[in-house]
Amino acid sequence: MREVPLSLAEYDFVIKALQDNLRLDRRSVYDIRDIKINFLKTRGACIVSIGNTQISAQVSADIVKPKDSRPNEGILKINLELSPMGAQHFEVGKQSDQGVELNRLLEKNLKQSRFLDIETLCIRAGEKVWQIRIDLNVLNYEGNILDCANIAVICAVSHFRLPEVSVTGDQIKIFTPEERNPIPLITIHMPITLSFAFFDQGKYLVVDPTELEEKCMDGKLVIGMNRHREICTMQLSGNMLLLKDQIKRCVDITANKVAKLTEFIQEELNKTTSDLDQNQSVRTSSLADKMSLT
Amino acid sequence: MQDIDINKATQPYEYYLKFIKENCRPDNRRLSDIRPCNVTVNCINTANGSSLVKLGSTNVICGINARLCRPKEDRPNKGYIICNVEVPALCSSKNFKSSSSAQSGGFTQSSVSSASIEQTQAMLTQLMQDIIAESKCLNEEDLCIKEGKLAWILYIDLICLNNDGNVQDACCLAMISALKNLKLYEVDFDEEENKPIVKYPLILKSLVLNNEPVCTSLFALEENILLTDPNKQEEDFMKTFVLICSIDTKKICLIRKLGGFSLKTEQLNLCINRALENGKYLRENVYNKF
Amino acid sequence: MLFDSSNLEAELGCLTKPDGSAKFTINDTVQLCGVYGPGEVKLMKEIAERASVSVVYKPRVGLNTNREKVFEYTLRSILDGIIITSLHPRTAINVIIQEVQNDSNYLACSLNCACLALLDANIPLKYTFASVSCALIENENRIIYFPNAKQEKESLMSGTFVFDSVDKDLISVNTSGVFDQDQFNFILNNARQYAIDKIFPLFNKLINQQYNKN
Repeated sequence: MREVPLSLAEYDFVIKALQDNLRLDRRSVYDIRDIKINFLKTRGACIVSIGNTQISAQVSADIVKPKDSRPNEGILKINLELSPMGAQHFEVGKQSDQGVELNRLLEKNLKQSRFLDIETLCIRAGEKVWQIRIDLNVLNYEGNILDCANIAVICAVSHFRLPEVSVTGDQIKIFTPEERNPIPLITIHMPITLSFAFFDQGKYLVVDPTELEEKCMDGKLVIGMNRHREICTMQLSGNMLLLKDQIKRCVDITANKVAKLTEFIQEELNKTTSDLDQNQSVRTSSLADKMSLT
Repeated sequence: MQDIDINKATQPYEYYLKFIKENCRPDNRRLSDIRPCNVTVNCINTANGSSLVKLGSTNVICGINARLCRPKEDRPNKGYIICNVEVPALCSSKNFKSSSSAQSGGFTQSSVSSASIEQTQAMLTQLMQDIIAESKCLNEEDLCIKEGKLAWILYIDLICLNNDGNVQDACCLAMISALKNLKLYEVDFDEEENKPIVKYPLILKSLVLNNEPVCTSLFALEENILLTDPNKQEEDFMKTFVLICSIDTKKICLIRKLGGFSLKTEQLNLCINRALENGKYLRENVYNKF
Repeated sequence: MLFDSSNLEAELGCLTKPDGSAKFTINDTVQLCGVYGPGEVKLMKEIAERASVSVVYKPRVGLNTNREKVFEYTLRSILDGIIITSLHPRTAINVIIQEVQNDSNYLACSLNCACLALLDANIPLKYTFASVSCALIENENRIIYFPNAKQEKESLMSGTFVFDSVDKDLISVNTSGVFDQDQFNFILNNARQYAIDKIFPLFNKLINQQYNKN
């Protein structure tokens, strides 16, 4: 089906509201919407929502032959699909431009920044390594897929447990979860992205745009950072020019948010390990309950 | 005479119903009859097993190729059986478009039978795979020669050459006939050199099937009249479709019914009885010939 | 003899963007369904006298295989007979099912989920349908409803049955395992009774809750 086009009245309204520092959902310009992380019973599966945008992440592992150029490294595959459930204009089949851009950004932020230690995935150098595959599906699209997908990948990968293997001569034996406890994946750092939307040639900026704001925006700045204030990704796209001070300001805002988000995610992950002991199957928790972001 | 011709072209469904009310069909069959069936085996010399089935005008050819392979780590004592069914553009004028999800036309297409080529092929492939898995006529463990080192992998390819309805029954007949005539040569595994050794002179061994599954397709028109073995025209009219696979005179391994009309229990039992009878008939007259 | 300890839960309207959405849980299997429609249809898929129904099933991991394509075809053939498509000609009704967690029974769970999502989207239906999955244990002559993977493997036969809400006749069936006619009738009648006793009342309760809340 076709996307509902943006009307001029909606565009004018959003811009005028921003001139008075107001947003349609009554947030401040620097506020992120409420983040909820919902871990499922299967290891490595979670549903993350920022406001009404919901994305599901599923992790699975397979044993394959490694790449010739990197014989002792495992393989990490991230695949984000704009599922037709998310919005009526998302189609199955060939990826749209938006889908390609999102996949590329996730790859830059997560794979190239080495958030997962892929050398530990090697079983037998040159012959057998683990391939970790993460499938992301957009369940509901209300703006800002990238940040949501990013958090989903980090949570799912940290939640996942890899089956233990033993190598004896030529044979590789994979142990079932009943025989031996599966082991967690080793993550080095948590690169979290933050999206900024700019309006009116860079005059106004908002953090975490909704779908309407994304349609009205002139350009977008994505900054990926971890809690040690290391920038992992930065991408500026759209029809505008920015000053050095504006970018520096965005970096500071990102550093502030990322520190709080990292804490929140870490807390949730710790709770799931204790949940396993108590045999609770699903857990949902909300960021707004824990802290207030200004 | 001319009136009948006009009726047949402009109102095909009403024309057809006139025959059904008299308890027969335009091609001179009773409601529960299948079309005449003819099977030829060993028609492809280069394959390890093959067969060609003609069910009325529907033609399906099956070729089985056997290769050696090393079983994967998570299933070291099983071989592989891989089915693939193709319904290419040559078999029917409706299959002309090769694009993925085109629904050709919209006039006489029954909602139950309309499917793109990709979906039809996926359905048939999955059906053949399920028939082998559910009936257990061939176990994957039987294909293993040496655990963890050597096993057979059977590639079963079916191609529909002419689609005049009921491809699934024809495919099943073709596959099982080809399997019955499959001949594998004896292979040993040399531990020291770590490779397979074929015994010369070639000792050919045919595969023994545990049972012989036969597929029967039935369909229903309004007033819940049930007919066996649809041809192409009847597939356009059908309101619902039942597929039953029997493995001997009493046992059934698969019942599939797609949407459309709902059927009462008595009608289902009628379908099962017809399927069991049909299975018995085909086993005596077709499978036991070789 | 009946044996039932399954946990059935459902939630309507959990997503904001689709016209209708539902989440259905059977024990540990969770499926999510979203429905868009009736809406604009691509020229290629347009049908002159009725709405064009399309079904997409997204598996939990990996890409679409034959298993998913077969399921999409089965569901579409069921829905084409149930949705009153002649009321909305030249439109498209899209049904998307996402597998969230799969511990067997995925067919029954998805079908029930699709029915609820269609009701939530207010798409005109001839009747609603309920799906029951059960397995027959041979030696003890008892039936387990919504078996898990281990129970299904040890059973003599198992099947997924879909019944309509008016006459409680069989719309669709999919079986596995080897059985004879009497066993099939036994399991069919019990499945029908289960749908009448448990699943249709659950749908009624959910719809009542949804509309009383508003």
